[in-house]
Amino acid sequence: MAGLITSLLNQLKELGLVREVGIPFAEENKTVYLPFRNIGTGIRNYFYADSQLDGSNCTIRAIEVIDNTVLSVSIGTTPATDMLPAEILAQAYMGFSNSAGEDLAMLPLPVMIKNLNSGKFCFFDMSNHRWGDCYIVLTDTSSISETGSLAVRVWYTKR
Amino acid sequence: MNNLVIRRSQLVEAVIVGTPTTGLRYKFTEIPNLSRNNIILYGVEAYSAAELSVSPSGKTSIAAADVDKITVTLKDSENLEFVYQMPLYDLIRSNNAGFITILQPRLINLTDCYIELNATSGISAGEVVLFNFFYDFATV
Repeated sequence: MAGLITSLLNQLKELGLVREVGIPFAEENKTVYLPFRNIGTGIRNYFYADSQLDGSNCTIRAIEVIDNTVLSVSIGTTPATDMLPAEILAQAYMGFSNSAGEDLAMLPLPVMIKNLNSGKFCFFDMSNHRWGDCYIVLTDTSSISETGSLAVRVWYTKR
Repeated sequence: MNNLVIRRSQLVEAVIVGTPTTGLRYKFTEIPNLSRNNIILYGVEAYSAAELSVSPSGKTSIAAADVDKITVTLKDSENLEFVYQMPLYDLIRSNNAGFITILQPRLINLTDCYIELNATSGISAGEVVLFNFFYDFATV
């Protein structure tokens, strides 16, 4: 039985569907801010286009959502907007799209908050997306206003 | 230790239709994206209101406190219950040191997958249990 599990794990590793935790996995990372501009359920708030983060230029290896436990005030927007607590971030999910408009993945934001997940990164292997077509959707707008913002750390490897 | 790598994912819902009842099977709703026969599932994760309070279709998610009353059964394309009555709690990442449940890659029969309630207190009609299915195309 142990051999069967080892064989399966090796197969998944070869396919790139699993990755060892706790070892280096990306060359660079950057923080991207998204002030909420459209407060409404089901509306897509798109990230600002960033060709450095497009799938044509990089492979996204992990994404980390920053809540107000990690960073209390956003430093990247003018005026500075308030970072949101995890309970409020549970009212939104992030979507990844490619340039053809195909949805590649959708994930609730708290799943990507490291300190809620025992320090584990949310791993990706995403190279067919367009960053400017990636978005956040609010499924509930309670306690969310235009003074709130979202910070996302993107860990990537240049292509 | 290894953790799952996300290539493609799809949110899937199982709706508590009508009065919550123990022993009933609440099936997953059909997702055209996952109904293509070249989709290979290799991981799954579940969410309560602590992860996404309202589903993309506007339904209220099951409360985190009620997660331990539900089991999940997943069936493959040959109608085999390859995951049978797994506690929903075990599929929630934050309950399991941040690890996502990894499966042996296989074709699934989405609309035959279901959840069951072992108790109904605190659970209301119309609430939803959300899942994320991690998949790739059958060429892998």
